[in-house]
Amino acid sequence: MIQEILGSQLGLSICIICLGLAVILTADAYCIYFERKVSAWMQDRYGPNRVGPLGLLQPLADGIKFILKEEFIPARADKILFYIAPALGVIIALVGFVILPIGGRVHWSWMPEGTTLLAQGASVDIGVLYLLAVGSLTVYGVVLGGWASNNKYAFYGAMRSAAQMLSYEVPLGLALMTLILTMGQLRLEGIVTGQIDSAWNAFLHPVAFLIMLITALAETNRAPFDLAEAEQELIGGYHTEYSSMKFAQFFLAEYTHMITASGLLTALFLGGYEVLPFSRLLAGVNGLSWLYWISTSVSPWAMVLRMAVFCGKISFFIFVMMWLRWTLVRFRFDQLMRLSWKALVPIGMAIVVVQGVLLYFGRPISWISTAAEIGILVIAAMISLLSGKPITGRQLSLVEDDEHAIRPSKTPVTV
Amino acid sequence: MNVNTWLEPIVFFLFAGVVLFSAIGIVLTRNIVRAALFLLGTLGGVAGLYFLLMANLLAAIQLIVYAGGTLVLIVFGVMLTSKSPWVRFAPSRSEAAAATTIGLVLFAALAKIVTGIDWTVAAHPADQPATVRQVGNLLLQQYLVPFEVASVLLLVVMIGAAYLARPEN
Amino acid sequence: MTSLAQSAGSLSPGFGPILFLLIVALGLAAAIMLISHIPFKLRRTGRVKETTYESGMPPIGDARRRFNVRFYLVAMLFLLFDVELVFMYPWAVVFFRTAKTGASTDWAIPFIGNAGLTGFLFAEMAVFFAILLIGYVYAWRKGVFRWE
Repeated sequence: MIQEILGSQLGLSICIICLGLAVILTADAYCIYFERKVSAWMQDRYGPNRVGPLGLLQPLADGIKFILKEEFIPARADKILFYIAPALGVIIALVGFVILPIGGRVHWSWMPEGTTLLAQGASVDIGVLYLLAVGSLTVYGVVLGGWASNNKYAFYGAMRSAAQMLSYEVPLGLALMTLILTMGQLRLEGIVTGQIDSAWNAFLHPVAFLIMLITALAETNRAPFDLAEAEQELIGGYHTEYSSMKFAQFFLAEYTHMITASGLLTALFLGGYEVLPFSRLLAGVNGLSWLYWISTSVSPWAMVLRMAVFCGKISFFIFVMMWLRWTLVRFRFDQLMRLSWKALVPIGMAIVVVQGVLLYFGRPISWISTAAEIGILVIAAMISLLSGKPITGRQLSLVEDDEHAIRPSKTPVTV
Repeated sequence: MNVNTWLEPIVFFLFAGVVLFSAIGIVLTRNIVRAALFLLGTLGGVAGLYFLLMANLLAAIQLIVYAGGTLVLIVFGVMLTSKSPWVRFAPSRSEAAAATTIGLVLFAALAKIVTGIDWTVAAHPADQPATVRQVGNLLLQQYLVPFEVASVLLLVVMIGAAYLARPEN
Repeated sequence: MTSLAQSAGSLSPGFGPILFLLIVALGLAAAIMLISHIPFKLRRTGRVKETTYESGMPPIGDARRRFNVRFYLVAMLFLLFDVELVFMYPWAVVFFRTAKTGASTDWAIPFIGNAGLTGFLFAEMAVFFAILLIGYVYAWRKGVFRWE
């Protein structure tokens, strides 16, 4: 029976989805724990350490607390939307991870010789576009929640968040385009195997990787892009009025988005489940052939190791996100918009054009794209420096025609 | 083991039900933001139907452009113009009559098209999904002129939007 | 041994699992919502308690007020770029295949033939892209991206 289920593609996929859901829900709870631990380490504190050894049972205590908290609905809130918004956020967040290529191909011993199954939740030919489609719906949980609350801070937080997500989806799409122009397909598992055959996209497309990393932070509303919940100005942002499990649902959605975004970055740029880059070349080195074996073998043990590697890389990205949160200061809203529309979008368009031209000439050397992308980044930096505008942007005085108003300088800044 | 034979009708009626329910909701609700949420249900349900028809790219575009883009624009527009606290709208009798007339005319046109089509060809659904490559081939070959005209249309909209909403001074 | 990249595309589990996940996620969201209503809870309401939180100040007016038209403009521009990108994905896939394999069997273009196909596809997107670039530059010059 078990052999039959695991031996069919649908059965295996559904098993992996169930496993993935369990892992993600647990990981969400522990992400909150680690967020607090990491912030504590960075600020030389202990962090949660009372519940269980090292505070490891803290998520459980948090969960019980969430359940027991009072449900609060503000006066004149739109009750139905107030309930639907967090649920919508969770549903949209949870359906994203399914196409992540975590396991590669597997062959069970009881299957006929030569047949393999794909060890991942689902595989669709639109691949990345599926994630983009699901991700573009994320806005609604935030906007509806903020609007339904009937709280000014919540409403402003929601509006900001929506404008931010929309603005950063454009460079995200452009960065994806450069990858498609290199890999020729949208299927995530195909992109991973393509990277194992050649090199990780992080090396071939450093600028696209950078854009993708920035947009991943912005799309998940993480610092330094957490304007939607900027405590100092907006209290809690769109979830100011939420309590109990509805509040927990927003958290669940946010951390699930972090996991999915990390998984997408891993699959697109860091070779997916490959342990080290260039393992195909390294396989020739004595004692290192196991690297390539993990990446390509159809044995179930290799599949388990691949999943572990993939999860490890996701954890790495999540740690980076937490690290950035406690290191960088938040953007101002005008800076946020400028970064997207005036920096990331033109650079993104430039790298798409360059990749198109390179492909037209057949891309004789694969590393030429690395050089071209870095060149574009350098040119963009030069233009930005020579145009003489301060990078943080100008701020006009609040008083009009104030003689002390700070005016943008006409002369170039001397460095 | 072929699950599809019995699962497909169920899924179809599921998505069709979502589309129908939300469509009726849009018409009946008086709260504009709730109408927008219902519209999300309709667009999502139609995307689900596209997935069922194995038009994957079309379904993704439906979600990305309509559910994720146009609808946000509508929601923003609603919130931008709303004066009353509950964003309610009470159409007058003449407005309701006009809307009903337009709706009936549209329905008649659609019904005529639906009844006029020879469904025997379409009764054999594609068993292979229409891949992105096939769509691209059609778009860049057979429908090349509409493809290029679309860019001009986008340009016009972009210039119009930039012109209308330019900063005051 | 066939190449890994080739074998990956041969079998697709399709959308069945995604549908399954969607239903499970729906159930999960509903369950989470219900779970906090089950235990006995003290529930007190009152006019003051139900006011929205504005750092202790009594809220004035309604929260859903008008906001800057810029947000609408951002949504508009996003939509335009989104449509542009949607057109580009199929092009990118086709262009990659043609550029890599040279002539493609999918194609038969009068006058040009298969030899100049890569250039033809490239020119198509170049025109498309250039037209949109004009719009982007115009919007930039008009100060659409300037937030102060």
